[in-house]
Amino acid sequence: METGIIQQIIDAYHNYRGSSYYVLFFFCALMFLLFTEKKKTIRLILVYSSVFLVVLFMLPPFAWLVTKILGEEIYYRTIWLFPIGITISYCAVKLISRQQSRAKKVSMWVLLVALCIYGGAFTYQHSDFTKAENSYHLPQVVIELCDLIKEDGMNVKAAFPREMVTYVRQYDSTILLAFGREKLLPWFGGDHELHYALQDKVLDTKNVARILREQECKYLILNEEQKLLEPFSQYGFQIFTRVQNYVIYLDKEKPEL
Amino acid sequence: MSVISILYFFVLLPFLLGSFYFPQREEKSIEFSKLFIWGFVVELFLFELIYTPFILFYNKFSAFSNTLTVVYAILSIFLLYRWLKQHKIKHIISIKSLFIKENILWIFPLSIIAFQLFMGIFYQYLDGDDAYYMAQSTAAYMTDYMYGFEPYTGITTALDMRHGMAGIPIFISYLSRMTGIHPAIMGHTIFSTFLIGMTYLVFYQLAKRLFKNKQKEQALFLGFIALLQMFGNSTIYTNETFFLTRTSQGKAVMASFIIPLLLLLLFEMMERMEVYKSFNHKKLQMSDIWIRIIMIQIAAVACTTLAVYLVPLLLGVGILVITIHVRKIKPLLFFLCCLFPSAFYGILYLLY
Repeated sequence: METGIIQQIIDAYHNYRGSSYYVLFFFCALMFLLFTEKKKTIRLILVYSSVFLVVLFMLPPFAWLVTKILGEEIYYRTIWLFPIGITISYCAVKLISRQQSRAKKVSMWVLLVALCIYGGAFTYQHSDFTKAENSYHLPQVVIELCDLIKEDGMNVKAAFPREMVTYVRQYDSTILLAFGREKLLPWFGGDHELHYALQDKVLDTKNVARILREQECKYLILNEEQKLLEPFSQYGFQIFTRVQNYVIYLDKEKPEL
Repeated sequence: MSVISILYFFVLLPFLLGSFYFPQREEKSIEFSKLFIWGFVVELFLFELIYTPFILFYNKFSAFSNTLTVVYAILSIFLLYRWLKQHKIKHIISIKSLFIKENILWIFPLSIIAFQLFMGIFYQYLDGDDAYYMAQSTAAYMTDYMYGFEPYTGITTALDMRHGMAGIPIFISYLSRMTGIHPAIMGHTIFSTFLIGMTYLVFYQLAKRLFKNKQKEQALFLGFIALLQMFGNSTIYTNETFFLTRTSQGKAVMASFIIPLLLLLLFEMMERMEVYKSFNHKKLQMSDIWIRIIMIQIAAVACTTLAVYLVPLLLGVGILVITIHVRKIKPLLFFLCCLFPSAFYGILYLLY
């Protein structure tokens, strides 16, 4: 038990910390407060409780018990309980307050703000942050595609490109998907025949049409640039309409689910 | 109509339900932010309390939301009547009055918070897990069944109890139904903006406890907190990342709102004991704290089922430290008696 569980504790810690210095700042702040904090309430709640939690988190029997009952993948969430931001901020304010002159206070503030910026990672720099295209906070093209294929009060099944499957049912749950996000995630295991067939550089139209029929899938949405072995019209799928760079194909031979 | 409903669920209801916590015993004045924070916890608590039997035995969304509406309405009328009768409104201290002095320093936190609110409204973070959570919200809203469908594809499925117990996606569906606003807009834009504001109210309350009557320090503290939230995206696992990228997801509410609130509760508990220098003092009034501990456990389960582990752990450690300090076993025993909601949901978690 010991080696494996110790590695899991280390992994949970490293996964949480990443390249940030905040956890290090937190430990430094705890040490500082341990020696300097005089208020009893703050010592008990912020300092001693934090030390207790950190020790508990690193304790192999505790980690073993928690991971056995709740699963390994969530052990890192124990670190959520460390008051990292609160302790660092409290310590920073104390450091500023200790300075005698206004100039020293301002200098300390500048230094600490710079440290916080340098030691962390700016959230909005993340590539997944983009200007919202609408108040749904979903890609506009997905909304337009959904609006075109949805049928009032009726379920309709469609195959969307893999980059869209995450968003379709957030917008409209009457649209059923031939394959969803679970097929893109390795930990769900296995692959989906249609998802697999749609990954080809040149689509085997006959095979795709066959799978769509078997799955009673009325619509297929493809990128306009997708190359096809033969036109879909040969197998009963007509172009329904185009939206931005996407083409919607409709199964004319079996329109009903 | 939507605006009135939004104001009711996000302003008036938390405010009224907050008074449920602090009826007679609270001193001469009550802070608006304190009422508001705990009122929102009661809102979530009532939601989860009514939601649990529905998700276990009858997952029809309209029946559930009608029941919840009746409960909220009855409580609102009763509490509003009580407020007006007791003329308590004049005792509320508004946040505005606290910002009069030291204006310049308040610019530090307020500008960062305003920036985060702006980004939350006008920028989008396309998180993959929303394919599950937000799709569940939309499905309940559009099909009238809660957790009745596999969210990724829409095929019917048996209840996924581990996710189903945490009702935040259905809370979003409920707000959508009551306001007529699509769940994706409600979750991604309105509810997440509300949660950012609510979280900073908790930090503001914490600032007031850490730096009593020191406005400059309170402003600086809140500024550093806001800065750390904005620069805390070192990995996808941090509280800060959850807070600003996946704000409306239950896990984020747990990490950024509930956990600091638990610390606030511990501070409040300790402060009251400090006033009377003993846990056994006749005048020491702790009943509302134990009630809040019970309520917050249930409200936290609405956010994530993992709350059955996180909430007792943090409160347990804090209360154990206090118990050792006061050298009386009573606080720990009281706390253990209050753990029945976590025990109940924990058993459900393990059974399914």
